Amino acid sequence: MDNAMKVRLLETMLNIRKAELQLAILYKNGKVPCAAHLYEGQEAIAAGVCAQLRVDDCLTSTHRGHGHCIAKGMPMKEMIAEVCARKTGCCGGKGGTMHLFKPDIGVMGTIGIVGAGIPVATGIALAMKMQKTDRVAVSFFGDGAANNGAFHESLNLASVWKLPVIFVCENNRYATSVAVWRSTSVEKIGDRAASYSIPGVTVDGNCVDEVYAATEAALSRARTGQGPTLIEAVTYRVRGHYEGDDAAYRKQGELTEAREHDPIEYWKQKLIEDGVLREEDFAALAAKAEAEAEEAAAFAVDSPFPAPEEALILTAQI
Amino acid sequence: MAHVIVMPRLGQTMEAGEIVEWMKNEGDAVQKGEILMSIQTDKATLEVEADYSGVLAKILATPENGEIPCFEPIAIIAAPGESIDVEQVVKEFRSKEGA
Ligand SMILES: Cc1ncc(C[n+]2csc(CCOP(=O)(O)OP(=O)(O)O)c2C)c(N)n1
Ligand SMILES: [Mg+2]
Repeated sequence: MDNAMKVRLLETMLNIRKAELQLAILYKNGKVPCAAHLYEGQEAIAAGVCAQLRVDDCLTSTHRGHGHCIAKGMPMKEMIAEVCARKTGCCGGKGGTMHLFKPDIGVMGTIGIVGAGIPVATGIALAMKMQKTDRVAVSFFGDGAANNGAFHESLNLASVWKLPVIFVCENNRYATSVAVWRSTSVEKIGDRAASYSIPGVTVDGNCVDEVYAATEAALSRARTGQGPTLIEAVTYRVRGHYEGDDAAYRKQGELTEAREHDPIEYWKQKLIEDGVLREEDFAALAAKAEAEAEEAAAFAVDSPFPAPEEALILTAQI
Repeated sequence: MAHVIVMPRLGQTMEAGEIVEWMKNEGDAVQKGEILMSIQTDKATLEVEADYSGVLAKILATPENGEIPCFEPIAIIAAPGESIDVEQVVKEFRSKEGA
C-alpha cells in the first residue's frame, strides 16, 4: 500500500464519521423521516474494502449502509439529501436511508431486510460471470444476517458456481439487542466458509490495513475466476442500534473498551509513526471532512421535497 | 451566529421529552459533540450532545417545565461575545421552521 492510499483510507474514514455525526444532528432535529442506523466505529471496513474496488464493481449493503455508499464514491450531499428525503438525493428523495442506490457507481442498494442483500450480490456476480467480465460484487452484512438462511444459500451457490463475489460480514457484536454469542453457533463467523469449501478469514475490522489485505486476496481470487471469499471483520457498534436506543443491554465496560480501539485513531497513530502524516495534517483532514458534512447537511435541508405530482417517477409501478 | 437547540426527537415514537439535567450553565462555553443535557424520552434517559460550538447563551426549558414537545426550542447557543435578543432568535427560528 503506497502513502497516497494510506492517506486516502484515512480521508474516507473521516468522511464517513463526520457524515454520520452530522446525520445524528439532523435526526435529532427532525430532518430524517425514517429510523437512522449509524455506522460510527465501523468505518475501516467500508474504507478498506471499497478502496480497491473499481467503479464498475458492485456492492449491496444494509440498513447501516451510509458508509458503504460514501466509500464507493457517492457524494456526501447526495447521500445526506436522500436520507433526509429530499429531491436532490441519490433517489430523488423517494428511497431514504434503506434504499440508497446509485447503479452508475455500483451502489446496488442499502437493503433494509436483514440478509436480503446477500443473494442480490450473488445474483449480480452470476450476471458478471455470464457476461464474461472480471467485475466483482461485494455484499456487506451484519452478524445477525449471517444467521439468516439467505447467507447460507448464497455462499453455497457462489461456491458451486465459482462466482466473483466477496461476502463481508461486519460482526459488530449485536443484532439489535441480541449479543452475537446468544444467537451464533460458531466463535468465528469466518469459519462458516468451511461448510461451503471457500476461503474464510476473520480480521480486526477496526484495523483498516487488515481489512485491506484480506480484500486484496479476495479480489484477486474473484477477478481470476477462483470464486468467492468470506471475510469476517470484527468490530463494535458504538452507537445504539438506531438513534435513540440507549443500548442498556450492553455489558458493562464494553463501550469504553471499544471506544479505546477507535479505527480512525488507530490509523492516525500508525500514519504518524510511519512518518506519513503529522498531527496538524490530521487536524486539517478532520476539519475538511467536518466542513463537507456541514455543507452537505445545509444543502439537504435547503433542498425541496419531491413534489406530489412526481410520485410515480422512479418508483415501481405494479 | 445564534443557533436554537430544540427538544430532540430520539426514536421514531418519541413525541415529547423532559429535561432531566443541564450539564452546562448559561454563559458556559460548549463544544460541538460535548454532552449538553440529559433528557427522558418515552423509552429511556439519554445524554444529548451539543450540535454547535459556542456559548450556552440561554436556557429556555428546565426539569420544572415537565414534558416538552419535540422540536420546541429549549436553549440558544451563540458565538462567544455575541449579544442576542432571545425573543427575536426564537421568532426567526419558528418562521424558518414554519412552526
Ligand atoms: C428479515 C428481517 N428481520 C428482522 C428485521 C429487523 N431488524 C432490522 S436490523 C436488525 C438487526 C440486524 O443485525 P445485524 O445483521 O448484526 O446488523 P447491524 O444492525 O448490527 O448492523 C433486525 C433484526 C429486518 N429488518 N429484516
Ligand atoms: Mg450486528
